[in-house]
Amino acid sequence: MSEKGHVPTKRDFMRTVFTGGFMVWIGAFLYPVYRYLKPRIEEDTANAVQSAVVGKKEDFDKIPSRLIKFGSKPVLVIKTDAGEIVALFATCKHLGCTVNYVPEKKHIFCGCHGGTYDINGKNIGGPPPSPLDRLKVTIQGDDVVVSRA
Amino acid sequence: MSEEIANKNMDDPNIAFLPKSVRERYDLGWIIAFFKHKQVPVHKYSVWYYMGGISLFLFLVQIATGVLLMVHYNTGQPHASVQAIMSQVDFGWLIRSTHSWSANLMVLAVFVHMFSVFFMKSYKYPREATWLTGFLLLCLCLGFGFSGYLLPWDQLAYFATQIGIKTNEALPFMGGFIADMLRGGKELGTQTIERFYALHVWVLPAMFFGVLGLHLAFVQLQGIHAPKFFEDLPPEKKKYMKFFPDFAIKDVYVWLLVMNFLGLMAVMFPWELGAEADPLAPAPAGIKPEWYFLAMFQALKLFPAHVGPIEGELVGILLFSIVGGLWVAIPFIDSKNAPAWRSRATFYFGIAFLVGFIFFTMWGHYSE
Repeated sequence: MSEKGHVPTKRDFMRTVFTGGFMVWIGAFLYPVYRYLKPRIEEDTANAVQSAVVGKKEDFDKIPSRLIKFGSKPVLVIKTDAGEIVALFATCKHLGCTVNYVPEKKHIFCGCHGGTYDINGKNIGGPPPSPLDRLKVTIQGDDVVVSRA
Repeated sequence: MSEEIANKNMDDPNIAFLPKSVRERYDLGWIIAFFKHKQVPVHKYSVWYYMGGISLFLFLVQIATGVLLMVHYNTGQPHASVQAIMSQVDFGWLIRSTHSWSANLMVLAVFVHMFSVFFMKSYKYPREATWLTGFLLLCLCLGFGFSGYLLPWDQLAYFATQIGIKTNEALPFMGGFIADMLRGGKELGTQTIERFYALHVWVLPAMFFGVLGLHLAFVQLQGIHAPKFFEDLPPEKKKYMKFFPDFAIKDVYVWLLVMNFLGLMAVMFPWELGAEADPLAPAPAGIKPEWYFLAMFQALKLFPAHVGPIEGELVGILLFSIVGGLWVAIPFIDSKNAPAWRSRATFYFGIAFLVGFIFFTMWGHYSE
């Protein structure tokens, strides 16, 4: 506030005290409001679903793909022509829409902006900047189990 | 805007504090000039002039805290969501407590404002419309109180609302219809919450803003009323304060004090939440409405079940309606050319009304 060599007057001092005090007062009322509105972010990785049974192996013989709920996220499980089962997070890398498998064209399509991925999740057309995230698929007995890689 | 006005604005000292880019585009000097021109009479009752401002301030607090509560309140799970606000959301208890305290203090401030206006005879010609809009605002305030009380959906809220609606159901012709419309059926239930919520957060505020706008516009257009003894003073003895900035600054100081008091009450005496409403559970003993409905509640108890062929409740409500009607009509009873006896009678009616209100409220509070 005061320049070099300038001695603060009593008025300067009082002004600083009152302005400061007022700011603190305002803060005391605004802080609870901020905390009230601040979302409680439950850390996804700590409590998130680690693995899930998505169905029986033979289910995929009839319908080659399905969208399932993995915790709060959609996961696309596809059986390829080679007989391999692939699981991908179905959230488009462009702007977060949910993608779907198009069996006729053998690719994954996002309806929002026409982004396409191949069956392994690699981005092959449209705006998506990167491949879809993959999950690990294991067969336990008859069950198809999807888990975080 | 023409060059001429732009130049005039650039030289207007009233708006010199505004940036040049604003001054050359908008003609704002007249607004400041208007408020600077406005004066507030200074006399021994000037302190009562703050009551309207306090009511307004508390209303603003209601909007702010009300919007915050809407963020976490859920009409589908009314009791559980309020419980979450009280116990899980950071500072949720404080926001809700502030909302409840501010609501009660606002009703109190409005009552004090009304009686101070009454005893200063500010309602008289030419300010009848200010009195009428003020009365409407009071009714809307009570509507806010009544509709908001149900929303936490605890035992007390349930039965208080039940009683409130049942009382009005006694009214001839419209009573049953209004009660059904409010309840959304023959029984008070969760569907009632949706209706009260819509009223509380949308219908009533929209009406309130409109009427409040008129009320404040009337005060601004006609200036602040001074009591007769002040008007009778010789001009050199009349003292005035500029509304802007002098009175406005004092208003803000008072608001800061009210804010501190409100914060203190909300922290020291947080509002409670009872057990979830259960229509099958018996009503808690000694159940009472909020203090501002207590006088009516207590007075209604005095009526027997039947007065002649008419239901006692109905007689009571009719009597309240007559008193309310007289109260609204005060500027027309004690009108511009009213004879002195009518002016005096109005004054005594006001005293009786105030004393009766306080008496029945106290009685209601201390009775079992």
